Amino acid sequence: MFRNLYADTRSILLSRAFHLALIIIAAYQVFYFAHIKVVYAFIGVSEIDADDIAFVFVSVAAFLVTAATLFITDREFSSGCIRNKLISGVKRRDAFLSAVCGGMLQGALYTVFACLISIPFIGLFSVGFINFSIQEVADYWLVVVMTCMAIGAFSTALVMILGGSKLSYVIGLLIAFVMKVWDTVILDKLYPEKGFCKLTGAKLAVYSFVDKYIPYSYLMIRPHYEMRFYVTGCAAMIVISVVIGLIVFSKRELK
Amino acid sequence: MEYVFKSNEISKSYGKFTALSDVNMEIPKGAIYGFVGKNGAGKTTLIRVMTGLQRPSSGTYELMGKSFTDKDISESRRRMGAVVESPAVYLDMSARDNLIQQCLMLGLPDYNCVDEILEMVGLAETGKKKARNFSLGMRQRLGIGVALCGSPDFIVLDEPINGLDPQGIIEVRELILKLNRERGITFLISSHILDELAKVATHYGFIDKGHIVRQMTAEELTDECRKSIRMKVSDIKLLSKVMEEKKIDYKVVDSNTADVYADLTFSEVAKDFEKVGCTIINMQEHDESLEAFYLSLLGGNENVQKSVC
Repeated sequence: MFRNLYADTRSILLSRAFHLALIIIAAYQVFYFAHIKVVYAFIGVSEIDADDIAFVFVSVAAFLVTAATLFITDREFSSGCIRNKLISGVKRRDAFLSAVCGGMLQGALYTVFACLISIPFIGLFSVGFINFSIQEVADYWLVVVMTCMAIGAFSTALVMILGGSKLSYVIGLLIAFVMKVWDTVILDKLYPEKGFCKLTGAKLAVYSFVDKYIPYSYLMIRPHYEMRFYVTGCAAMIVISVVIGLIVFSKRELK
Repeated sequence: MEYVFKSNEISKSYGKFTALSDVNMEIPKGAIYGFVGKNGAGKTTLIRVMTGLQRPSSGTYELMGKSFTDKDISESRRRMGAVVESPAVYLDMSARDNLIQQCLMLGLPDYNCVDEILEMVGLAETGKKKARNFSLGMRQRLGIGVALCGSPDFIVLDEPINGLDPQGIIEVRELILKLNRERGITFLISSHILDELAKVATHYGFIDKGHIVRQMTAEELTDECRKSIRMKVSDIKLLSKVMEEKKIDYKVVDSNTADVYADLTFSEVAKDFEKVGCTIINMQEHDESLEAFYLSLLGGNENVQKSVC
């Protein structure tokens, strides 16, 4: 499996879609920073907090990681490269696992890149973090890396399960969108700006579960649980994607 | 005879649709096996089954002596390369990077074969040019190059000259012949372009509606297709006698018809037949191309499995 993982990593790093995703991440952060600068100048605020510009990537991470991993894996299918692997004697299990690991790697690389891009802006143009300690910043990035890895694994498994069908784009991006909207509602109900949480019973349990264990929700708000909950949520998503994916892909008839 | 692929009653169904039905097929080692059939006849389905992309609904097959159910069938598959439907190349990589990628995937200890393969498929001069900027012919040759990594014994090419210009067709044909002669690689080539296939194939398999209608060697096909005079006579035994006396090659078609493989002068033949008391009912030139043979084979009533390889 490791030689496949190495080959897959190489193909990801050399792919134009991967480079394009990195450019989009960088461009988005630059654009966002410029936008904040203009807005602050307009309202007469000269100093920018690092809190406002450090985690810009997080708000688009679910869509970006989903889209990029879906696209890169789907293209491996459509170009016949996955088919070629199997014809050349690569076991289905190995092909699947290395693809999923490739998706996780992409998630991690996009996040690390976004973090690196944000550092010069924070250092040069902000007055530093106001509401975050260094440890909290590190924890936040760690949670985002884990979450993006889980989303990358899920998206890749989705393409493999659906055999390279374009339906994987619809499902993957729809899940990201629905979770974003639903999480907004959940956060609003669990942590209302005014007053206190009025949820009870099953609804409270479901909303708390989503907030605590579903990785998409980790990208909505700064970490507010212990790290073990985030690790559990991300690990569960990866394990479920891998187990279901392996069962389906090993029996799937490929064209 | 040693076979690289041998199937035993393979069937493949998708719901109620039967794509392959009790297919028996043998591909001898060192052959260039031309796989001929109409669209939807089952060629690609059989190739998918053969390459392990799909499992047969029933029946078995052996790949290089190993049953497809063997745990170590992947070892046999590693000795196999294929270009199924479209060449499997990474469009964002150069030709060289594509070959290195395949070497990595196969776990080869080094990339020494890369330059040789690039030279062989005529892509040594492409440098850093990405595969996305290659012509269709170049991609096809790169696909064959990828299939060549790891020195395979058996290569499957599904419609390898589809969409190629005449120059590209010649290049691919020359490459196949070269690899077969110099390296002894066995090829399975499915193609619609029968005349082109006839230039390379040593064996043929004809498939129709999921059945292998016939398998034959190129020599047998040549015999069936070669120019002849079809003679209808009153007594076929007398015709045989005359032909044997004159040492002329012939083949009896039915009780009063035979194909005679020689340039005959009608007046001389008429005299010879008159001497033995045989009447010539009619005589006509009979020239069957591979296409005509294919049409007569698939259009005929006797679409039965007949293995003659």
